[in-house]
Amino acid sequence: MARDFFINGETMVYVKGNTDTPLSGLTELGLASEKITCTPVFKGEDLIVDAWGDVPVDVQFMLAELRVSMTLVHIDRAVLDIVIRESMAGASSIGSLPRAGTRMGGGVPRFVSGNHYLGLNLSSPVGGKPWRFFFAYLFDQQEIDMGTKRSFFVLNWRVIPYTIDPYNGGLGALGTQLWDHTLDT
Amino acid sequence: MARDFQVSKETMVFVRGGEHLSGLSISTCTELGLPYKDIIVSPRLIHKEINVDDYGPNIPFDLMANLADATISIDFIHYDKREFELCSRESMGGGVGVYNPDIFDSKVVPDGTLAPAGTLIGGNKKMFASGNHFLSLSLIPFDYDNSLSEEVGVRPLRFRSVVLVDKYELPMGIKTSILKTTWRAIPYVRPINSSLSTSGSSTSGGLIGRYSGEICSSGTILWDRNDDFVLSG
Repeated sequence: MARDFFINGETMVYVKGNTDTPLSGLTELGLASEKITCTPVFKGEDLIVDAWGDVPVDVQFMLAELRVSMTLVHIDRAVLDIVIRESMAGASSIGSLPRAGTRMGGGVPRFVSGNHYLGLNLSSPVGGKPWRFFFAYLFDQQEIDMGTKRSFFVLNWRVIPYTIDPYNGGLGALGTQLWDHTLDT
Repeated sequence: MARDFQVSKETMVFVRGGEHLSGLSISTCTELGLPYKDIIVSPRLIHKEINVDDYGPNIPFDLMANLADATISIDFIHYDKREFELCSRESMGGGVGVYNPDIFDSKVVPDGTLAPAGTLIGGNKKMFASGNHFLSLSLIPFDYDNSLSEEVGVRPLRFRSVVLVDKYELPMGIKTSILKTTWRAIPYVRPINSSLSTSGSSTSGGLIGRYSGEICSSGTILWDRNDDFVLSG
């Protein structure tokens, strides 16, 4: 591909959840007030030998996770409420809590009842390179404005390479998808 | 093999028990679980010093190799609870009663049942025979390929006769339980089953000059680089 400016375009944020939720199809969550930031976090383990001093001679790649931060201003509150509930491991109602220690993935496949991870999708109408994050959830702090002016919703997502069986037939994490560039349907 | 960083890769722990567990998956080579962190294998090599006066009181002039055992420390995080309970019972001498695969969780062998004090784990039987409660523990890397030579491939580590020892920790709470276990491997061997002919040589078993019931340490194995997928003794 030749060098060029990359313009993603007007980015719609979509979500998709498990079959127990109203988000079982690809659903619009909202539009951002400014750029959406995707931050892959690569984990590595340094290999240190005494002969190389304090600098590693090689690094072992220890998988990756991803953070997505966005400030939504044109948003579907009903969808957001479901996103919040699913991110709290399937809370029965908005603001309630599930049992402490409830697993987000529930040991079941994507979008199956009991798996509360969401598919987070970012459209790319101009750039033509949308993003699909397979196992996303709201984590850490969110910010919701309330006042006479329009509210901004600062959402922080975390994406991990969820799997049911870490052994994966002897392959480990090989082939596990963290993200790709095809939207959910 | 040339010098290199040694990465043993993701390791699955397999276990196999005796024929008295027939009908249960542990009677064949079955998955026990995945570790939370490094598995620590600690062979302990035993030597006896031979002292002579000419060497003074402190430094031996030679050493006798007096076998070895090994401790394997494994913290499981993704494991089969049922298989582990069986390992625990076998390590406690096998409990009492009869294992019934159809009513495994029944009152026939309640969890925590002890065998009588003094019960032999090996029971003078060969490995995997009914009544031998030693387990075979195999640490197998994910991409193990037994068609490759030892110098090239990533080889498993199999301890042929192990038991759980000391104490193990089984946390109970809302967080994922990390099962901390310690295993001991010894070079178990059953007494020689042969009789002595009138000429003084063994009539069976192929071991010349050995007496029936003798325990011979020659050639005993503490660990090897095979697996138990092919059921051999």
